[in-house]
Amino acid sequence: MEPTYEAMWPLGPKVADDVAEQERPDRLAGVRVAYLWDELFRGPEMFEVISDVARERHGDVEFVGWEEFGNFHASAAEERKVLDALPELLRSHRVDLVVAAVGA
Amino acid sequence: MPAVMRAAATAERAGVPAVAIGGAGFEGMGRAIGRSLGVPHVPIVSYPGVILADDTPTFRTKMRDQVAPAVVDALVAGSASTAETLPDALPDGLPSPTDVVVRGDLDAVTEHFEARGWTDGLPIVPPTPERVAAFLAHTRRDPDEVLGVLAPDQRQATVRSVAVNGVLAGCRPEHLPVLLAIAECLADPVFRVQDAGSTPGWEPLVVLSGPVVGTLDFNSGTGALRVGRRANTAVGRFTRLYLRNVAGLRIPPEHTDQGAIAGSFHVALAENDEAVARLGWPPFREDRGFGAADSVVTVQSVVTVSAPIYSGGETARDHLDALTRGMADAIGPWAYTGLEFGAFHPLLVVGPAVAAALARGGVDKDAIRAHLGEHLLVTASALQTCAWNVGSTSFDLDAKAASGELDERYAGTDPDRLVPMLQRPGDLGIVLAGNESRNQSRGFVQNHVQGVPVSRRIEEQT
Repeated sequence: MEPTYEAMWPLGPKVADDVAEQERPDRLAGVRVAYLWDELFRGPEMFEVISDVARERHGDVEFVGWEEFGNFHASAAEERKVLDALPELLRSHRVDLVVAAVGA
Repeated sequence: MPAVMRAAATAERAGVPAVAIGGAGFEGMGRAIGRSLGVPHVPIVSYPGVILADDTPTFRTKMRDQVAPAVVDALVAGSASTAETLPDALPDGLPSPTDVVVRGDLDAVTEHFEARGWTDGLPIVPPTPERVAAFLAHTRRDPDEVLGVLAPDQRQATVRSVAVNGVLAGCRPEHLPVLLAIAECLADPVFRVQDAGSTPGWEPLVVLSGPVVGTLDFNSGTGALRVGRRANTAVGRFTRLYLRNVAGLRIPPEHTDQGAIAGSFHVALAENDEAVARLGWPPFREDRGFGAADSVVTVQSVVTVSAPIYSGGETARDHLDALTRGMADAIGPWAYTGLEFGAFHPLLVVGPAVAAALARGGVDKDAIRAHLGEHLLVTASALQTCAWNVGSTSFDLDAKAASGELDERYAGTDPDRLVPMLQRPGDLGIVLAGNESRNQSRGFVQNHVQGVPVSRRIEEQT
């Protein structure tokens, strides 16, 4: 007869805090949307089309370019710097919504 | 995708709703990371297909007809949150770290672990409380001590979880201090474990240097990186299992690891201390800033390995030229990554007989680095093309040189000009290992800021 084993859990507790889901506007007219870009995968070309479609469907939508926020896909130190500065930059640019791209 | 989700999570924490865009097939990874970062509700819009495999007209049509409308929809209220529809990749519940999660025979334990994604597909050694305790007897550290938090799963790496995974991998209890040092390297923010599931599919390589190589019976000679010696093999396997179980990097069906083709775990590489001492060269641990009496673990990424580099000839220069050709072939235009992201740490494993020939010719480690720094060259156009194909669509070598981000060796506008692969030759690692009866070396290509070499001193056995 084979022996019986008791086995312990190989993972560990997760530590992230959940963030409450933020309220989104009903329409984009008069809203400021910021683009965040990791400088990969044709991001500016994507943003141009998204801006066009958003304005066609919602009228006066404002956009804040990715250049205002920096590349968040760089060295560890640079990513930390960019992300640490992001909340204040979003406030100072009066940003209502964010599009973060491009993951692949 | 991990960086995009971190950016989206930062915006959400600042009170600004976010939408993430990724390539098709990256949703699972994005959602898993979103859960780990506490933002499972962030919508992810996927580009249908492979962005860089589409021509420009196709790209623009897909953006216009599918991606942009989906992004606009996701920005406004009433867009479908992804939170309710997410499959829970790991039905782990909330067991305590000391809980026994399954009782049964070997098959039952293996099946239980396999069904939850807790194995690498090979049979495991059941991590029984008794076996784990035997491991923990080899450290003075508290089993609940937290060594760090590993992304993307954001799980605590503890002394106990290191022991449990060490048992799983088939390590010996006395390997625990080595495993703890490895876990500390993985948890170091400089290592960027959160990017260990990136598409290049890099794999950590563990390098051991110091007395521990002899005392724990690591093989540093013939077949140094061949499966076959328990210490090398099991420690290498542990490293991949720990990434899987605690960092949370898994291939499909969980699909939080996006390594496109990737590779399997590396057997731990041990330095041949006697060969180093014979030459009077500093051992790898001293190169890494530790003392000669220390035993040191270094972990770094490896994205590919060279063909065997056989070198010979009448002079040290003959060997250096062969090493240069072998390393140039291995690195190739991948060198752009070091120029793009600002870090590049390839590793050259030199056969002891080759090192002896170099030393006889008056060449030391610094001279090897200087020679390779000068002679490892690639055309600007090859770097530019490779960068675009990988996805760095904004990479511009000429602009980087013109702005001073890269030095004058990179300046110019001729696409056929040759530029150095190594911006900082001093960042090339050199380890002596392998068959002492042959004249072979190998190059290990590292993945820029992802998996930068990190070292830790191994605590003494208790």
